[in-house]
Amino acid sequence: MRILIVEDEPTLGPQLKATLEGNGYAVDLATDGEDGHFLGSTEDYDAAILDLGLPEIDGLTVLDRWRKEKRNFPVLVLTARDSWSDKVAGLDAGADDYLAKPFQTEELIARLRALIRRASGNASSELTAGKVRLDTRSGRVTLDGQPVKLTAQEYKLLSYLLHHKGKVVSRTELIEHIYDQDFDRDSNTIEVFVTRIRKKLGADIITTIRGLGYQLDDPQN
Amino acid sequence: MAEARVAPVVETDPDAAGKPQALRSRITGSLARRMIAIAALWISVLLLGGGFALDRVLTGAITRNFDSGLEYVLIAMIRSSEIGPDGEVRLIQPLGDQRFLEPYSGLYWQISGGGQEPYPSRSLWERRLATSDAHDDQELHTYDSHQFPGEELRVLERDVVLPGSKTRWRFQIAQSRETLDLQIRAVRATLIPSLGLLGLGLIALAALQTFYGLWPLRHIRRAIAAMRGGENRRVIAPLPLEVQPMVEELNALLAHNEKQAEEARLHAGNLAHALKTPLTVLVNSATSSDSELAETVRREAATMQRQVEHHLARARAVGRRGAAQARANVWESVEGVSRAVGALYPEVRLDAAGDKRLVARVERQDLDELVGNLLENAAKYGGGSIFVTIQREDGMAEILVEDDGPGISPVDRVRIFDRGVRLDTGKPGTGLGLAIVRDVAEIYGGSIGLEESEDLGGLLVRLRLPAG
Repeated sequence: MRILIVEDEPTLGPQLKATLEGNGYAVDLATDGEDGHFLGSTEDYDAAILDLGLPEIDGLTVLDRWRKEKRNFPVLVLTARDSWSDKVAGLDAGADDYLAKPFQTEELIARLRALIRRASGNASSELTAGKVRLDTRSGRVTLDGQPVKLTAQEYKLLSYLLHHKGKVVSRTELIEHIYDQDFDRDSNTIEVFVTRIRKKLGADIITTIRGLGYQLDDPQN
Repeated sequence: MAEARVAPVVETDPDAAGKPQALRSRITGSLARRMIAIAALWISVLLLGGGFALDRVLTGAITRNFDSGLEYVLIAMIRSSEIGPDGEVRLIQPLGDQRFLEPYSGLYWQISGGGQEPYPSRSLWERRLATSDAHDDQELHTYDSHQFPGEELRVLERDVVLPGSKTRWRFQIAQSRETLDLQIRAVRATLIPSLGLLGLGLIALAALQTFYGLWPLRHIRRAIAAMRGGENRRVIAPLPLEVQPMVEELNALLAHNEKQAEEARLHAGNLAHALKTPLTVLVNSATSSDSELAETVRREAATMQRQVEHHLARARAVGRRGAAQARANVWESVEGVSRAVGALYPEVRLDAAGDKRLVARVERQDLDELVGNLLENAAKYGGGSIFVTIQREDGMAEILVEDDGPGISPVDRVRIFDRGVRLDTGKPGTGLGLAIVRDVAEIYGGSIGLEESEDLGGLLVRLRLPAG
């Protein structure tokens, strides 16, 4: 894994470089925006850590130029300007993650790992049943165009049933897919979730098949 | 009249919250009303004076005309009289007017003198005209007389010595004033309403003039309202010469305020820059060691970080509060911040609904900060689903952030606002989020409340800000 760090601060830059190298990454360090932009444009990196307050060219401009040049490696922005307006501006400019100073190195490494993993990407797809729509990328659920409030568990259950539209899904199967490994698996809670989903999306959205499980299908006629 | 329409020139906008109360009590009456009152006063004085003079002239002319008719008859009467053989006066030929022959006709003559019974016209019947000793000459005398009850008389008399007699005879002609008064009344009946109408017309015109003269003040009010509404940052409407300097002063004051607020913001940002990078270096250096000193450094650095962030957030908000025209669209802020939170916490599902045009009286950056803190809290401590509702409630812009996390027990809902308190110490954070949100919201006259989410089962944060 090859990482580019663009950081002008004379202590922090080498400190980060050393830490990342200790974690098994190959690291290039640029100390100003001009140099950083050049490296990012010409070399292949798996991710970049970009400080926004840079001499020569500021970080946002560097980021903007990379994105215009179709350099699409994930970028983690590092900055002391951590207001949400700054974060929105940074992420809208094409940053993938944002870390405010002061930060702890562990957090930086964790975020960097997640960033690289995520960069493999996931495509958006939309699942529908009648008037219910579910966007798998944003996680938005709408009924007749109106956003619906769903808890994470309700969403997972609905998403699973939508992925298997028309099929009968057993409670055991649902529990397997909805709960984490260490969760106390009480199959009664599935019934509670189904009841709540019916309340929010309409009673006919999920059919109970006695003794077998649940089925979600487009409403008849 | 026009006055009622002019009044709003100085009237303050009743629904504008946050308007200084002192202003209301310091209104010293309407400028328009004062100008109209002055105009009404001088118009009334002039018209009364003019009307009086005109009345004098007109009634004088009518009376003179009336008198000259009588004088003509008096001269005719003197000419046609002679001394009879018995030494008494007699008329050679009767006076032509039929009214001298009809009793009580209103037109009379009488000749008296020489200590004899007066010689009356037939119309006098048994009455006689009074003869006074008020004058002793041979001039013409004209006067009003009340000697006949119910009949005001206009009397012309002249003492004459006729040829062939030593006696001074008094020739009198009298006519009822009725026709004269009738004419005068007719003239006044036209004059008074005309002048009254003229007066009202002039006052109305003065009111109209005031109304249009003060029109630019309305312009200013509207321009300032537009500015407070966030449409413009300056009063830019073209205005008359007289009010332009005032507007320029106002604009200069606004620019000064903005500059100060901007400087405060800049200082805050610079301070952040100056402190945060060394703090990072410090913390990271300390992390690589397990000594007691390193632990102290880590702990104290974290405290410093909390202090810096808290005071920066406050300084930013206070620096901006001066800008009364601060307005921000709530939906745009929630959308932008949601995008950022979605990118930072990709496993979290985030959705929003509500009024897309709702505007809050907050600087956009502060609104982003408030919403960002709430959404980040929900993303960190919730169960993976966040739902934001934007609505207008009692003149306030409400932002409800619901999550499906464990929620906060009623006891902890108070404690959570304390600086540095974190209920979940397993996740990174400074424990300042809610304290900052509350402080900033209160600076803008808003509030924050914690409740339980009915639909998602977790925490519901109700942020209220003055709606724009």
